[in-house]
Amino acid sequence: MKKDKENCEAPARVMECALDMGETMLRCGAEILRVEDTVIRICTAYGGGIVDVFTILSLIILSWKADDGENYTLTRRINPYPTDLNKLEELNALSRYICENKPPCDEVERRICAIMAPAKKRIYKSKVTGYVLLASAFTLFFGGSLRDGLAAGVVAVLMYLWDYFFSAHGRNRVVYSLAISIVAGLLCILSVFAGIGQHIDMVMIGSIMLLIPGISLMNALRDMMCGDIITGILRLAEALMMAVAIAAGFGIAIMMLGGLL
Amino acid sequence: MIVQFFEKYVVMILTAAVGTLGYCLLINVKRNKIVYGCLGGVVSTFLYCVCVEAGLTPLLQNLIPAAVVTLYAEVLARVVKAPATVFLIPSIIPLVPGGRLYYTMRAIVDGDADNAKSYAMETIVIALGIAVGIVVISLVFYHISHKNIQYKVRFEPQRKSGQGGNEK
Repeated sequence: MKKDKENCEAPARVMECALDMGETMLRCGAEILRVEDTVIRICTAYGGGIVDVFTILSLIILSWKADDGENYTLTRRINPYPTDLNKLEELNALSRYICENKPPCDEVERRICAIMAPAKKRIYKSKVTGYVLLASAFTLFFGGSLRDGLAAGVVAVLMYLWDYFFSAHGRNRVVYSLAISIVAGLLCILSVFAGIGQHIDMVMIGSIMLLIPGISLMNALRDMMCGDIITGILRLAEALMMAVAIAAGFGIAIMMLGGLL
Repeated sequence: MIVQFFEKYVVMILTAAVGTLGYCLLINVKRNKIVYGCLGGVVSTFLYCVCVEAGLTPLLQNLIPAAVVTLYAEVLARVVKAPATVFLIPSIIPLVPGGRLYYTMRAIVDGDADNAKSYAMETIVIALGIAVGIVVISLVFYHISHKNIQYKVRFEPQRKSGQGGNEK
């Protein structure tokens, strides 16, 4: 690979950029293989050398023997973050751009910051629509009546508001699922008690579909298949615990208010 | 027969499309890619209905749609140049056993051990079917797309100049 001297960056700086990319991708819900691949590609794009990278769900270790013969190692702790496929796509495109054009590290960091900039905390119409459509449609999908769909839609809006005020960023996702499931279960029972919905089963199934950890489960499978058994097991355990927490939450709600019906 | 099939399942297929649209909005898929996710949801539901009509076992009822949708997502990922996950996750959603999970929980709460056991069994079988369907197809694509990737290794007799693996 031909190296142009004026485009040379300090190895530690390149590693920081690579780790920034890896961290942001992992947080947005990328597979381990994609993260490791990106980090290796970015490092080797800026200079030769040998790159070792080890990633699990909460940690990236990057060790690089750069062209100047020195060994560098950086580690990065990864905190949980809600999955965002939009950002993941943009990061993926950015990583292609970096490997092709080798922009200066400052530019890379600026662009990562631009992608990951925290959105203003407000009620997103698209998200509310998503909640309502998902809950109502799956209530009908599993055989509910139109009134059940309406009840599930109302419950979904209230669940979005709960999510908005007590969002799960950086907290234990299993406990959070348990809490929101209890609230959702109570809301479902109340909606049927108030006479909006007809079948408690169907309204509850619609709300369960909102909470199901589909992405964790999917990523667990994909990771295990690519040989990253450790992360696969971590993600699978998290997804199973969330599923149990959701079932338990709705169960508690039924035990609390089931007598109303 | 086709008319009867559609009369029976048209609600399921339509609601699956709408529900998948909702899920795409929920996980913030890019606007111009939502339509692919919805299409995947319709395909998986349609195949699921066909498999149910054909009288296949619950394992196959979920394995076949999952496999076909994975094929769809992986091909689309290479055409549209986006991670396959973006198309795969919304497409799989209609197959997810949310209903079974609820009935399992309900049976446990009601203290109905027999029903709880059989519903739990069904939930696991469906999840397993989806998992196997995804894994089989993804494995093939994984080996195709990573055939040419070769990183620099430490104990190589002679260093090559190229890094290899320029396609992603």
